[in-house]
Amino acid sequence: MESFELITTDTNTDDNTQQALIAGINDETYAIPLSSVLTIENVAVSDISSVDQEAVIHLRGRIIPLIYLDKLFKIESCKEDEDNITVVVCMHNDACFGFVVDKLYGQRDITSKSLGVLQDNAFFAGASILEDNIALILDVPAFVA
Amino acid sequence: MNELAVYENKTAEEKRYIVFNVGKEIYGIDVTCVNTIIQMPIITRVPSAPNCFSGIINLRGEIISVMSLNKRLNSNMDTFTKDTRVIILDLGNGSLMGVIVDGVREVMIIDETDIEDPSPFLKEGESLVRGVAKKGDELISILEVTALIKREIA
Repeated sequence: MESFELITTDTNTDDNTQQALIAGINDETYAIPLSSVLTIENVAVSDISSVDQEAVIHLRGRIIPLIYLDKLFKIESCKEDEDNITVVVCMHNDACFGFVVDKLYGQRDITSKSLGVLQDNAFFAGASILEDNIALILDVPAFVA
Repeated sequence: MNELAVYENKTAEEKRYIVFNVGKEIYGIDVTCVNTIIQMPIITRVPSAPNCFSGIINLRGEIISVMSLNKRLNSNMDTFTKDTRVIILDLGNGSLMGVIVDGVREVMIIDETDIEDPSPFLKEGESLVRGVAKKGDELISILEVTALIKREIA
């Protein structure tokens, strides 16, 4: 009986608190669960190649497709064209891909909260309340096509 | 137990409604569905959410989705003024949702017999309005809270 109780509390904490990388795109904040982050790369724009009209980068012998979060989320990027982009390389079930973000705010312990009636959406696993704003938590498996 | 039964009988006849306006129209929502009414908070946009959802807010440490009634009811754009309020609705089983309205007027007691069925020209099932109450010269559309999210989610 006691061991059963212990197991249930364990799964609860796994579900709700996690480490995440906080990323910013323009003035919006998103959290990427650290468990799926492989590396963070600073990539020169000239190193981006195109395969089947998709932007990809070569990284240590792997080909990693890029997901431009600003275009996907229809965020008006005020950034001028820069020479380098920040790519957060994520992995899920051996599939690698990179999120292109504007800036990184570092890693933080976050508590995932349900989005309520919006929980059934395409990109987000939940939301987390940071000190001064809300970060939406990316649902990494959802990006693996 | 006896007292409780008397109270229920009374509320079956007369119910209290929060009366608010969206654009030029006047709407009412049963107060038992209303959790709180707050001033316009900071809204975090949720990409990929249905168009009528403005985003999510942080209400005392809880994440609550917020729907714009302007967009939901008459697909107008929102114009936020100092009268703009967010009514936090209780959708049952503890889940909350906020709706943005252009101004909250009062709590009105409306007799159930004063509420007429909405126009038969409206297609049933498509309407969010459960009935229309006449108070003075004004028509108050009584919103069916559960219908607000039904079509969006299903």
